[in-house]
Amino acid sequence: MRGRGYFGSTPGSTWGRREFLRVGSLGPLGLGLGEYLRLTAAQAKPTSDKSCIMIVLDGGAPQHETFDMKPEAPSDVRGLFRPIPTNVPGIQICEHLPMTATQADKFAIMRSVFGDTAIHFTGVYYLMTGFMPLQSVDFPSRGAVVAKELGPRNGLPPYVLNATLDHAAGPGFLGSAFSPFWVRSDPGSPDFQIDDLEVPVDMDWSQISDRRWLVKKLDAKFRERDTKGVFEDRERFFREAESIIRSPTVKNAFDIAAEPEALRNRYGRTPIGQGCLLARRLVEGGVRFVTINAARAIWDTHSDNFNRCKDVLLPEFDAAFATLMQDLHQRGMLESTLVVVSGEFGRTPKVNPNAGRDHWPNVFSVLLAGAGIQGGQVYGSSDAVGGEPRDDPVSMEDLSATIYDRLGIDSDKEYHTSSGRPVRLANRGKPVRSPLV
Amino acid sequence: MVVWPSCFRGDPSGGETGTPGRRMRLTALGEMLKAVRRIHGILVAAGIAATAALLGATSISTDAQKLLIEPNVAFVRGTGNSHTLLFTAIDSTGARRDVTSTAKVSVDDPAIVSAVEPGVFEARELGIAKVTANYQGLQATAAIVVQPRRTTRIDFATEVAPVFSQYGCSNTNCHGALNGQNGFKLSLFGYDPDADYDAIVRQSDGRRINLERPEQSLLLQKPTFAIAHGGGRLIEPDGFAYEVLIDWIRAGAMKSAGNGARLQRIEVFPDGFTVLEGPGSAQQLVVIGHYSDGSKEDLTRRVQYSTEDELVLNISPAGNVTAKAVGEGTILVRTLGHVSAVRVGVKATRIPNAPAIAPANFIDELVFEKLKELNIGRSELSADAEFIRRVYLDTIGIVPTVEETRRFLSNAARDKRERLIDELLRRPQFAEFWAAKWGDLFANSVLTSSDGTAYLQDWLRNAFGDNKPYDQFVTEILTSTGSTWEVGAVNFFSRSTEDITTLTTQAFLGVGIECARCHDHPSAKWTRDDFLSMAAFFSQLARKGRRPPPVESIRYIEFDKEFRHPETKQVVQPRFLDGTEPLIRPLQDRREVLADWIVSKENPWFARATVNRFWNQFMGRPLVDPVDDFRASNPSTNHALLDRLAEDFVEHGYDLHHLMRTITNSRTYQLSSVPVPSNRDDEINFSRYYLRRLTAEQLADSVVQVTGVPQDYLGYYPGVRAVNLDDPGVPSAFLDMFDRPKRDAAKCERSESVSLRQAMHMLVGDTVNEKIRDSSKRGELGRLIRAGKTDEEIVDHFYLASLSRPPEPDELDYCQTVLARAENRREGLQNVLWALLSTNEFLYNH
Repeated sequence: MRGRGYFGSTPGSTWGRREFLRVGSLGPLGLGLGEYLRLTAAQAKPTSDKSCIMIVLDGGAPQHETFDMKPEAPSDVRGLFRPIPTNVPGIQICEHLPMTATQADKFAIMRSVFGDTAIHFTGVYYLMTGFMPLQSVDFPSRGAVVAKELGPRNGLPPYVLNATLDHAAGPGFLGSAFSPFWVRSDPGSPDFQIDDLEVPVDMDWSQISDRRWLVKKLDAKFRERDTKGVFEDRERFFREAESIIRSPTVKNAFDIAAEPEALRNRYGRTPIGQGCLLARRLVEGGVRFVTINAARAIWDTHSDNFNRCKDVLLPEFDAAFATLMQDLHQRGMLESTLVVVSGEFGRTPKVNPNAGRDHWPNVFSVLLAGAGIQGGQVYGSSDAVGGEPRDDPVSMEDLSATIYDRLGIDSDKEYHTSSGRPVRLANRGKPVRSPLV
Repeated sequence: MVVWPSCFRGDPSGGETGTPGRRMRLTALGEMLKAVRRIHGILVAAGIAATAALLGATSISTDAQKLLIEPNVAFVRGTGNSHTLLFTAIDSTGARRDVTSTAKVSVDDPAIVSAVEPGVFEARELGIAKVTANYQGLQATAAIVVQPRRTTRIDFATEVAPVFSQYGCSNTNCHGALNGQNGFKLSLFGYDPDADYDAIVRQSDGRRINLERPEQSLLLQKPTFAIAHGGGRLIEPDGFAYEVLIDWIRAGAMKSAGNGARLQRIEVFPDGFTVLEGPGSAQQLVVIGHYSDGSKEDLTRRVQYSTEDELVLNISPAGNVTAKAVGEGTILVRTLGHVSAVRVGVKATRIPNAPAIAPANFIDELVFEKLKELNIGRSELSADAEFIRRVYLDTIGIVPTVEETRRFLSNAARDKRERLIDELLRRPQFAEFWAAKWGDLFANSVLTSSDGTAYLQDWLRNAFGDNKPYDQFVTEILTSTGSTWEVGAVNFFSRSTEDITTLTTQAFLGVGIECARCHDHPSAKWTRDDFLSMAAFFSQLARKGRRPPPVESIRYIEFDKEFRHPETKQVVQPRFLDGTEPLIRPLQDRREVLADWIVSKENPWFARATVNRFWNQFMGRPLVDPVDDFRASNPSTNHALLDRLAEDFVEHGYDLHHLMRTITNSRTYQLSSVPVPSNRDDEINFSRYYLRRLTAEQLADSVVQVTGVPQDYLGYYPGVRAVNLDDPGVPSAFLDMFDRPKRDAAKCERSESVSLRQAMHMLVGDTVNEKIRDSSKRGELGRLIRAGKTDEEIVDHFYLASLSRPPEPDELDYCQTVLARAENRREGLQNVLWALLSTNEFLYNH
């Protein structure tokens, strides 16, 4: 199944020069440019102004050490950390998230989310696609769906991935037209840059145009061999690549070095810190969906949970997330930007003999902010030991539906795979609204 | 022709045209029936066998056409139960047609069995009845044996438990999930009736069953939606399933009644590949259960049917398959953890205009036969230029050079393709290419094997270079001991016992048991015990490091080391995947015993999995897909071909060269990739050569060869080819963006992505652009310019170098247009070279 690519004929997107010329030249004969614009605008879907930043705490962040503390539980459940108050009366979170605690009015905590798998690989896939993996269907990750539904803005790729979660981040059956723009390098490193964005000094655009013209001519006869539309995808990627390389907006959006030094430091000079900053900058530029994680800081704390949380995982996340909240708020972007924070599952209520916690999909906590989410609240709850949902359980499908809902996408919309199998975007999950929204 | 009413009337003489001899035998049969009725006992096995022999060969054939009733001896337990029979006409081409609703059918003794709807016969009394069918002058007969029930009470394991698998209660997304659903857990697809009995009757303080008021049982109220049920309303209060459940509860909800017989396997008719005539045509399935007490029963209406090929096939809850569109699909039949798969094809109505190509070997016979059955046309034979490029890429992993291509194209010998194949198999690049593939398969990387990575790659290069028979190849790996620096194969074991177990079964048997490492497999029969028992073969493997840090280590055998269950800590005895427990002598390396079993001719997986893997490498699609997922619910697309390839492979001593020659010399392999109208949609039957994007290494090495500019890789000698990089961690953005695997999981198949990233890199990135720039100085382009070649000669050269063919006149014109527009000749030629390397024709193996 193939649809409009990233840079299809949506108004506001960058056109390939060839297309521009073709349309322009129609003027005297038929449609004028203005009319063409009007027609394509009529065909285009009503696009939402929403964007999403998805922060994956992969490995599985422990609910007990983050947003669902159980101070009343026995010591082998509650662990070593204490809760602290936040700027919202009645809401408490972990003592090692002090900066986040000052932003609690901006986000909601879902304490009753549950999954169905305790395996990282399938869990991350479930979180990022909303579906458990199936042999027979390769489901699209949510970013790819958003790319397809909302399309590009300002000539930027709609879906950017800055996380080593590629097995779950792909376009699945939507086809490679909706693949993420994958930023492999670590935005936290001093020499961070995006490759292949500049024309080499000894080349110019007229040479590139000649080359591209010739390829199309030479490939004409070969086209009949493609029964799957892959060549079309490839051609579209070349067009998009050209417009990206030509666009100053794109280079600017990726240029986190242009941010004030003080702000960069506040986010933290860590992969997750600079990842959050990059995500904000990209969304500001027009990207629809950005997925980031904490790179090497993996939350899979089967042993030494408390030291790793206290020394690395919590402080890195705290600075990054709290600053992101503040930054989005100050720029007035929170209204249109949904921020989701989740691991692929939670961790066991009981601390194991290695001072760790193991995989636990039965209940865990998810943060949601922006795009209409009412901050300063807790939605749902878990039982006394943080082991099972108690009130308002939220399935992964419901979470998925809620995300689509906030982005203005109908979560019940049905796609069809190449074999014709119907797939609903959120696999029949129900969006959570009141009192979340 | 509607003839059923006569059957409903139970006309005993309806359609009977048997010969006097047969009538006589039937009289004897009638006598036997009476005896049976008198004693109300169980039929003696000998009697059943005699009945089968009597009725087995009664179908009359005219003009090589046949009428078939399946099964031709049917067993019904207890009056009131029914049995479905299939009535099939077979035409001269062997094609089947379901004539259940059109054949004229009669029953000789309607007091015993009567037809209640087309193909369905209900038992009225104990005994044997003869069913006769007439269709277009053909006749066939079958017997239905009505036996008493095993007991007057209802048996949980054989009668109640099937309800839960039929209605999907024990599926992965419901109560069969790892943690069940809402506190109620059933065994996955009902494979464990004992555990399910406990869950239903004993757990939850027994509140699921209400013996005083059976109809108030949760077990009935939930699925009928009398009270809210997450799974919705599944059964009706007046339906068969409800009746079974309530009768069982009324009778005391006993665990077992009768002789404790258990379902051992299910049999589905029609078996084999079934072809339907086109959209709209239908085929009834009949499912027979075989029990441990030797009895059989019709389960057609008590099993769960499903298909993932919903666009092609529809399957009713009663087992009726309807064709929705031309294509092919699988119907899965499940009950009590047993699964059987039926492949069904729907043929195109238009007979294609296939070019006549004589089969070169059995591959062509079996592939062409299936194409003919389905009315799929095949493409033309590939041209020499297409063939040479393809066979180079597939056997040695690089495009042919200009000289090699010229030589081959101008060669007039009839057997030049065959000779080229023989020559390629002997090249050093052959061993390098396949060693790299097996490095992927073994997930060989510095992360797992540390410094041993290169030694394992060396071992693989030698093994492929020597064309080591594959049974020996595998045995040597599985039984290797010694230093990771001296015995390359031993690095296969540089992972946990559990990972070794997964890799061994996946790589050599094509069976994925990874899921069973933690829990019973969700879609195959593997249990956690199966996994742990396989792991126990590797328990004796010990390691010591020679010097710290662990760069070199020694693997050796400690004979008394046992494998312990991760939770119970009990010693686990080694057991093969087929369930047999081998005898292992003291002081015997268990791995030898395992290797012997794996490579034995009798092993049901080894040869099939191996040929499937190689077939996939050459043909672009495996016969069993995914290539390492052999299981009952994942049938091959061409059983006969898979079996024949495997047999041939075993007969020829597991000779890989022989296998590759057989495949590459087939016309099937040599078909063109240009589709014809009738095979555009075919993606599984090899009616044309399927396009494949070059792998990262094929692409990188081919670009180097075409431009004549080597690529440096960190830590490697100058001029190394990408295929010889031993570790996936060698930095190369180019290889990564073209899907070089990280080798973090055993996998031989690669993705074939096209991406924005690749396009950006081609346009302005350094790899190809730098090669082209350098080519005009120190590479091929520079050499040709300095040699005074004309533009036309240079274009011709690069066409042969990259696409293995000369340019067409119009293509030459286009190139000349670009040459004329360029600022200088060098830049113009660079532009042409760039364009050639950016074409789909270059990027794809075709």
